[in-house]
Amino acid sequence: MIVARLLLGGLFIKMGVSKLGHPVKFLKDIREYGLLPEAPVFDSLNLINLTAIALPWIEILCGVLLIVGFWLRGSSLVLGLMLAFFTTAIFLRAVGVYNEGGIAFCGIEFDCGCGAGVINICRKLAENLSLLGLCVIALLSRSRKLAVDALPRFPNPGRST
Amino acid sequence: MKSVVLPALLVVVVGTAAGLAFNSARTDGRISLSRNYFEIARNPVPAPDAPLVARTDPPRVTRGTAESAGGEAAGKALEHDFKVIDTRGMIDLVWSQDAFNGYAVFIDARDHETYHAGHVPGAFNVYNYDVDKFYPAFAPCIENAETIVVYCGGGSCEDSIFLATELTRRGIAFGRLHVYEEGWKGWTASGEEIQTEDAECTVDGVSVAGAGGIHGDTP
Repeated sequence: MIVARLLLGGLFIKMGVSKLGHPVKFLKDIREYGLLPEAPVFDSLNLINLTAIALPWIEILCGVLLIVGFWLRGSSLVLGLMLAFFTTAIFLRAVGVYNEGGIAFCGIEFDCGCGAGVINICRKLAENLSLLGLCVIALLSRSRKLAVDALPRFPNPGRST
Repeated sequence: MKSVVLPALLVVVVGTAAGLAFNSARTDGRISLSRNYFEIARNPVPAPDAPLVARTDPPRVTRGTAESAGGEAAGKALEHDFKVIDTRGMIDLVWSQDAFNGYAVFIDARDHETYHAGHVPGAFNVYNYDVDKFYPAFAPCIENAETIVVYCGGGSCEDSIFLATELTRRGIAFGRLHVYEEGWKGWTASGEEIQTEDAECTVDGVSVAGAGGIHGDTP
């Protein structure tokens, strides 16, 4: 469990920081998936832009929380949901490329916007599924070794004392 | 359940707040919350197919899609209504009297570092993703020009179209805007001269930006 926390936490901090260094690139990557409307909602809030602004910090925050062991299950849930969502999006995008023809599915490569540059799709899907597995472990595990959550003066919101 | 969902929601809220705070504090790479960076303006009035009127020889101008540029096709065809100028037309215009007199201006939509590595001679740098920072200094020259050509990297780069759209939102008449779709790739392939120092915007003989102006670079 501690290994899962450190691995996941470190990886997501790294990915979040990488996205912070290239905000415009990340903005364009989000748009590539075509999952969010390009026009602003209510004329004032562009969801692609909001995602580009917020997502790196959510990743970094979850990474830090996993490492220090605070709100462990909550941060694991957030990362797990993000992983599930983006893995599906990456898969669908790869299917789109595959359907255009000419490339074997596992030969498809593109920049997924994950902070790792151009990736091989099969390798990325395998990596993401492994990370998702780690998230599930962190979510379901009751271990609180070396975790701030274990300290009596840091109650978990929602848990009755 | 509450011990999982509530912290999860809090993480998202706090992360979003941190992102918004960081974004508003950053001087480089700030993202607007409201702007659609990928909007393509439509010509409010269908333009006639008459050639561009210029004081010197008119450049080769066509209308159409990103595929009509000829030469290297765009990686992703993007339909737009802006007039398209090809490399031959661009070369003619860059070295024309109109360009010398400021009636024709050129805008490089790429980021400043890339612009500094080399750009079309005389082109101003207005980074598509930070127009508020770059545009005001060059606005006097851009708004007074009759012909405004916007370019970016060429190939699959669409930023020139998005920047041209943003310029229409800032009051530049649609018909004055042209997109050089072959972009920097096309220009360098032509073997024409490149410039690395900031281009100068002068109004009534006085430099208002570039070459020691907004970007603080010395010629």
